[in-house]
Amino acid sequence: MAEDDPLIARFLGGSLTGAGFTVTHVGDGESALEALKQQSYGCVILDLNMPKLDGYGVVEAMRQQAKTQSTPVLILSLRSQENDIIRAFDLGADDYVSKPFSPLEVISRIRRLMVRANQLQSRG
Amino acid sequence: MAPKSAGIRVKEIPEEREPSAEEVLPALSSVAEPVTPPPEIDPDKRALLGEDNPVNGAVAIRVLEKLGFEVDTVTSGWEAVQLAGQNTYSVILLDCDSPAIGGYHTVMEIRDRENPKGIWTPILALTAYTMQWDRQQREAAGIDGYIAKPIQVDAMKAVLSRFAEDQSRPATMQLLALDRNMLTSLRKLTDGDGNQLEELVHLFIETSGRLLDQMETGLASGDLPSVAMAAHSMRGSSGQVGAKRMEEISSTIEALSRTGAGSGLGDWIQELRMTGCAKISRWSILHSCLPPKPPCRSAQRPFPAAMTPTRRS
Repeated sequence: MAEDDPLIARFLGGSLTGAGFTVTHVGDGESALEALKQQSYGCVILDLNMPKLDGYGVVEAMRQQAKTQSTPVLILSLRSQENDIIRAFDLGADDYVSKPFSPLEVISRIRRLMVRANQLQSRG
Repeated sequence: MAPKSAGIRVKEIPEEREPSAEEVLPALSSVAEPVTPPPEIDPDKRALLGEDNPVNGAVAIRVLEKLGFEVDTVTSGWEAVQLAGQNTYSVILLDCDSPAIGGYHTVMEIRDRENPKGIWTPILALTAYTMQWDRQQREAAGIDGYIAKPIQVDAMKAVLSRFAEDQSRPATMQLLALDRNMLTSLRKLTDGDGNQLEELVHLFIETSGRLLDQMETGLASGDLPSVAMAAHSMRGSSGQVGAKRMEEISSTIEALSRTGAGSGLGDWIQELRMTGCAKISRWSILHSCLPPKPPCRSAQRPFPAAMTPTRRS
């Protein structure tokens, strides 16, 4: 989860942990890419407005690397304009949720993204 | 019976239609009592008085009756909640310093029962605590005004007639309902873990303070992008915790600072700070008034046993 707002990070992080996920939290885009180099993740949650590198930059970079090419990415952003959403999907995002969000809905979407990714992977 | 349109007893949420008499006064049809009142008592003026001190009670009753109110008196918070649910009052007066009446808890119980019906009965506190912080706490708990103790007859008359005239109070009602819903849903998400909820609330307070400082510093140094960034974050976190007004103001600040329109920004930031303070003060009271565990659906909702008002100096 790359999110620079500590409240949202705590809010969603707590809900995810409560739902059984193990969460790594970073506060900017560069740290997100760094974390993705260190380890593999089942899903990546990205805020768009972040210091250093924004969410668009992260998803774009992820899609160019073999290791993270098919890792599910969910964008969580305050931006809810059509062009922001389209740009995110064009760059390779798999899902988009506008803030304020329901953590339960986000968890549900993440579960679905992960199941789908696993199915695709097992089909090779 | 026609709706009491002009009465001060029915306060509706603006967006909603005017509730019918049956909805607003569900208990009224079952009240067999309304015998012809004594000629000097106005049947539309009925007051509920929660006071366990006989001297104060006697004074209050006398003033209320002089003003034409029919008075129901109770000596415990629980009775006050029950009667407020059964009858329609034009005003409720509660001794908020008495543990037996249990001011804030009692008021919140009454408000919780009124809210779904779209009713807002003016509630006045009888209290010796009249400092600014006490007033803020009362407002947060849903109390409209207060009558200072020891009761001065003229002052009490003045307060009562002011409330009979002033019929607008839906803003506080909506704010309280929102905050209450927000805290309840946060609490559900945190599995009733009071510490986690508290942590989130503290985090919100801390984050808001930091962002407000960032906005002020940015404005002072002419760094509008920094103001916009802080306002953007504030919009996110306030929206997430259901702080609608803060979200709106943050959004305005963000838009103004992005377009480089610095004028008026200072006022908006000030307004945001004030709104934040009011919200936080409401929260701290609501939070302290929430039952320790989420109430079980099947069981009767427990009324707090210790009904001591929360006081912070």
